[in-house]
Amino acid sequence: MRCLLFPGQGVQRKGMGAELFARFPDATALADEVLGYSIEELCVRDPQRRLRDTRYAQPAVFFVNALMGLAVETGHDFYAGHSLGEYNALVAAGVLDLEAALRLVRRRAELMSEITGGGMSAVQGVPVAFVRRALIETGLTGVFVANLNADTQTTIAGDRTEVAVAAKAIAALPGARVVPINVSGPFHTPLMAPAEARFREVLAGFEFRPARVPVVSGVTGEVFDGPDLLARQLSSPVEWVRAVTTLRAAGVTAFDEVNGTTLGSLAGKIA
Amino acid sequence: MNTDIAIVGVSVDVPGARDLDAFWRIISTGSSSVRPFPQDRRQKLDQYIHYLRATSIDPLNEPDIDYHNGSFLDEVDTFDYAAFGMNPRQATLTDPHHRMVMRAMFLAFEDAGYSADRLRGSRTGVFVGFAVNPGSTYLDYICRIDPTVGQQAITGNIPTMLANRLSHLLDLRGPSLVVDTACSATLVAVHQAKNALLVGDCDLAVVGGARIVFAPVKHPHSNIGIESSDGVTRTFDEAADGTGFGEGSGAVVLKRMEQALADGDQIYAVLKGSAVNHDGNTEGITNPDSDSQAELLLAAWRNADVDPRSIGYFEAHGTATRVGDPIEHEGMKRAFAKHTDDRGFCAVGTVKANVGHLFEGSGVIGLIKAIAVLRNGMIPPQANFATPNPKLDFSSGPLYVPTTLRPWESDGPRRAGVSAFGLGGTNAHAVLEEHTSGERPVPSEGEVLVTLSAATPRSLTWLVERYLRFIDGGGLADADIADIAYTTRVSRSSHRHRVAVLASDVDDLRRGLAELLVNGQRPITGPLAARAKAYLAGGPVDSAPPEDRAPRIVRLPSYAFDETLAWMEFPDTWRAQLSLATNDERHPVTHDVEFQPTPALPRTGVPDGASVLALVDPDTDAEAFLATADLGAARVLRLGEDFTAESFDDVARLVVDEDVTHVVHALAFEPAPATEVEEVERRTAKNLTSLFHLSKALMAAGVKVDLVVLTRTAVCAEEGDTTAVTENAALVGFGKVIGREYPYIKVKHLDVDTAVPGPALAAEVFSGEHGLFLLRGPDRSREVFVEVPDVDTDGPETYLKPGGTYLITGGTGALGLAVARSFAEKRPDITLVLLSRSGMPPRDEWDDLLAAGTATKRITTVRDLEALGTKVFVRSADAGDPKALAAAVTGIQQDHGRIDGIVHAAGLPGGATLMFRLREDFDEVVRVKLHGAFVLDELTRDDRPDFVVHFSSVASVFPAPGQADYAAGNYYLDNLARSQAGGSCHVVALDWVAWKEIGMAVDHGTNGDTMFKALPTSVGLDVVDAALRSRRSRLFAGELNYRGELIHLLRSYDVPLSADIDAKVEREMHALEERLLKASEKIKATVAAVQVELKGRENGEYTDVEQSVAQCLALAFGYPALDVEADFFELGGDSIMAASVASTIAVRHGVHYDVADLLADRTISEIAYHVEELAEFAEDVA
Repeated sequence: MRCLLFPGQGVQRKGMGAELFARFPDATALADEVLGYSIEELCVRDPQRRLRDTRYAQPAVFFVNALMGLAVETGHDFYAGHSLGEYNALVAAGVLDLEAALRLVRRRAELMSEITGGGMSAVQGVPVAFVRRALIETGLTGVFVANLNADTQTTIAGDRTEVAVAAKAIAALPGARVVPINVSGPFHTPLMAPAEARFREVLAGFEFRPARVPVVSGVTGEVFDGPDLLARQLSSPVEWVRAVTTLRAAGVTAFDEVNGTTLGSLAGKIA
Repeated sequence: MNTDIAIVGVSVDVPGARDLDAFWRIISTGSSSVRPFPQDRRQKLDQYIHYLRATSIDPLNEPDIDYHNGSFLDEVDTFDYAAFGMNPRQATLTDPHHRMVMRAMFLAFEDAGYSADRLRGSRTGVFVGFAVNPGSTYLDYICRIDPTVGQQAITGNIPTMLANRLSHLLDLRGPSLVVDTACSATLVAVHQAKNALLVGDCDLAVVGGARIVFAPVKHPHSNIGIESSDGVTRTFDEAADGTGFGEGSGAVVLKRMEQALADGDQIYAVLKGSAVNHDGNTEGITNPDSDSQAELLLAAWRNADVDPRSIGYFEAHGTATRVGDPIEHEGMKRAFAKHTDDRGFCAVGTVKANVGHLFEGSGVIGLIKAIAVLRNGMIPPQANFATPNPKLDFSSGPLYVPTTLRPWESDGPRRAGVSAFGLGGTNAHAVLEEHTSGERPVPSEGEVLVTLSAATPRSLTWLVERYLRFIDGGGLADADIADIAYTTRVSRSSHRHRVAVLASDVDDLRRGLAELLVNGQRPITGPLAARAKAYLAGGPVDSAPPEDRAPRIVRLPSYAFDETLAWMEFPDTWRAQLSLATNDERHPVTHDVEFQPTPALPRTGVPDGASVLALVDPDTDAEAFLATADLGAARVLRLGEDFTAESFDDVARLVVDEDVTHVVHALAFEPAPATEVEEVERRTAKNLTSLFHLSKALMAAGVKVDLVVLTRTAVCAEEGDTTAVTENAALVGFGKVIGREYPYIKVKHLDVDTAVPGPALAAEVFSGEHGLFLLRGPDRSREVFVEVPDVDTDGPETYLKPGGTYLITGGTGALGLAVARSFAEKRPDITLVLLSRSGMPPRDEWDDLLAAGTATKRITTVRDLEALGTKVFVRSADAGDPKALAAAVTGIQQDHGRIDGIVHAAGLPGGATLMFRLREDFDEVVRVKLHGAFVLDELTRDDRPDFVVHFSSVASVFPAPGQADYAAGNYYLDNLARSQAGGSCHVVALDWVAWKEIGMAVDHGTNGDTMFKALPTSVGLDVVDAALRSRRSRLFAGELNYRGELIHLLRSYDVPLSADIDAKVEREMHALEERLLKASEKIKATVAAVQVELKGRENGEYTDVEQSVAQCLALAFGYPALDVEADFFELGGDSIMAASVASTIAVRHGVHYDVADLLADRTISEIAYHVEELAEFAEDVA
């Protein structure tokens, strides 16, 4: 069985999706209207360098993911997405329509960007257990495991200063490499609780249809079972290893991916 | 077939002449440009020469530098990088010869009517004559200043690029080659180009060369014997004493005659024919030979199909040497004598008297002189000629030396010959004929568009000024405006900066150009407006011939290069920077690990919060022994042999749930060593495997815990103690690795006897010290790493017996084969049995396998050994499989009797860290070492060999992550050898660091220098020899790499260092820190000194970081100005440069910035943004 994967924030590149906007004029017009600016200009030329900003990066990645999803062959047995990418998976599975998802993503991005002073770092080369232990040993309370991406790829997030201190401690582990990630907020940590609460209210105003094709959630690592997961997602770690393991257990043997190759390569690093 | 070749383009650049007209002025006036080496160049070289003298092995202590006189160029250190698609840095790293050849060929193409656009994709050949001459090269010079540029500078300095770079730049598809025949090179290249055109290898060819004398330093021992004493060349003169140095460049463009006529080219002269030959076996390889020179002329005349009597001018090689001139004269006389008895009809001269000897470049310069003579129809006077050399009898021959300029009268077309002879014997001669064009062009009517272009705005301005001067000097008096327009279109219009002028005649053109200078480009109106607009906008240039008239190329001013300094400056601070003091301190290769007494721990109670979990084997006394110590409320888990990996997940859960602080692994508590391999199997499966699972489970749970590995007299405390339970010592090696992979498990290994007092044991369990401790009753000792400066070879002098049988496991591996060879070389009359998993292919397949390149090392070594007279047998068996190994050993004993010596060199490398290690893989690595050694012992117990050498590893002392299995197996070997010390069989374990040239480390790419220097094969084999001649039971073989950047790691192990080693580590760590600091300060200072202007942003505002990033890039590329959005690759960057640029950026800004970051960011603005992010991050940490 095949699963189509959608990446999240972080894959944005100036020029992404350049050839797609003209191919999908209606969707592009819809996006311009929902967002209030030209999505194509943002993705392709980005004259004001907004792709660095969560508020713009999220709709941009979501929309390019969505167009690429439309452009690839369908007929997948499962969909899954990493963080923001879950919205694409839900659209692909018919749970949300494109416009609703875009409105949600826009709001999500706004709420997330309001929580500042955060930082994030990727940790490679050591198992998550080592990272957790190192975090405990630092005695810091404002830094958390935020993504479990592969067996030895984890991200930590939290208070900006604490993340930096923790990163230094983790980097001292044999074989560990720590690379700061350019985001403004402590995404996927309990520090996002205020955004989670407000986003839960937003979600209440949208309709979620049953999935035509199962979507595996990165929040639980299990099949998506309701909109509240999207609220919890903001303050919960991305359990990507668990999601991939679930998909494999369900019989998925091939992972396809839009907008890059990050997720496929992560799946290859999950035993 | 018409074999005439037209010379359709010429460029020349020698001191005093940068074009053909100026060159003719020098020649026609008989001038000579000899002078002292120019002051500016002298200044730039002085320090370098001083440096070379001071740093040679036999330093030359002469304060004064004496330079030769010669025909020197004023400057060789500038270049117009933009015109040749380079960046300033590349230009600076390019040999001046390359730059000059490019320039010369570019100008010759332009003169021939070819722009880059017109040439692109054409079948054009590039032929360069060049040789690397003795003495300094530019590459040598720049590498002395900065050795790190070597790699980057390759393409600008290796000779092949002289031709290839131009072919690449202009996309030329014909032959592209460099000819090296010494002084005849460029004329031989002309011959090659002619032939290439005639056989159809190309449709157009450029031939040229260049020569500078990098450092014309006078030194009595450096002359080759042809140099003139004062730099003046006096060919054919009585006072001639050699040739003077000449510098410059020249190039010609060749085309088949018919094609040139069809293309309307300006034809400077016709190459009628040419020949190349060699002197053959003359008296000496440097002696010229008049017979072969005469043969050469006859061959060239035949090739040209001309009557030699019709030749009126002869451009001789003429080096003005006492040997060379008479031989050349004799050769000419003999050749002419075959055709005519007429006397004094042919003028002879050589351009060397005017501009010196350009060595490889001299042929084409002579050719260009002959072209000038033909074109002007005048015979020029020979320079520096006063009194004829009495040895040359001109009056009786066909030749005369002209002393005044006079018209060249001729009945038929004027013809000339050009000779060039190369040191070493390759001679070349070319026959030229003048070309007279009868037709005058039909005058054109109407306005035409004259287009000009340049790579920089400055060049463009200069170019327009040049045209004005050219017109004012009458240069275009005979040219039709339509032909001027065509010529500029096809040869001068493809650069980036462009102008266009409408003109109906030359006067019109002059007015238009003058107006351009004052007012800049004006809009062009009328019928040509659209074409002009497209051209000015950078559109492609049409190089098709005109529709309304025959194409005709006319002579126009040449390109005005915008040259800037492209030279690495030799630092005059070199004396201060050069530390001539050397540190030749030697460090020993051999080390050992000793057990040294260490004070007993103070006895304290159970620490607060301590919680102990002990794992014991109920079949041993471990639990009772532990009960003698007060370990608080310790939990005891009795584990049998029937545990699984999951059992230890439960243990780990318990550790987490119960906040266990100390886990005691006390399973390996057998009182006596195993005597049978089955028992070894049982014990390793229980003891080592349980520790494997336990460590994995504790790591996976992410716990922080002290792990105490308790063994009972497993480690041999005293050499020769055969009661040591050696197999359990594998746990020591294993334990050393855990903390290397996961620092939150602190491991201490307590090897005890049961006489250890309970309170002492408790103190050990709870102490904060880690590592291996031997506790025997009240005594306590621990490992210390010490130097063994000299190995006492007080053992047997010879350890190989005549007729002896020696077994090497891992025998067909690289180390095994090396040992086999060293044994056979010491004593050929032995039998070697090589045992390995892969074995050896059948003998009848060896030849085929060798031919196919398979298993070659094994086969050739075995054959070599057999050639020495050694009997070699190869057996296939897995040393890790006791049954298979036993069968093999028994078989050997049956076939060869007693085994007289064993080298146990079999081994498999470790692989993954424990978290990701599979049990099967783990076991395999352990078994080859441990089970293999045990079986070898077991089967030779009754008839012990003279010696057993165990190949162990650095991993048993200083393991790396991922080596738990490897360390376990090797620690066993070390301990086994120690327990067998002093017996009738000399057993020794050798702890190898990585071998540099052969073996496992090479196969896995880990044969670099780390904490230790990788071991050369010869040194390794010497250690084997010394060990066998000693009585030692162990040697650690590896020299500490004190100067390496990893030396600090030595202190991170729980193995104390001896005081002398520790002091050296301390000292070198400080020294390293200083070196790194100095290096980074140097980089910062260098970057800070870079002047660069940022551009590309409308408001003109740039951040400080953008400025400093720009400085880093400008340092790499040399640009005086950089666009903040310019792409790294478009600036001329490549992946080789990226690493060094990223490192500069990282050092300058004090952040971790690597090549992957640079390749992703690519522009100054993005790099700066990223660097700021990283800097903020770093600040947060601090």
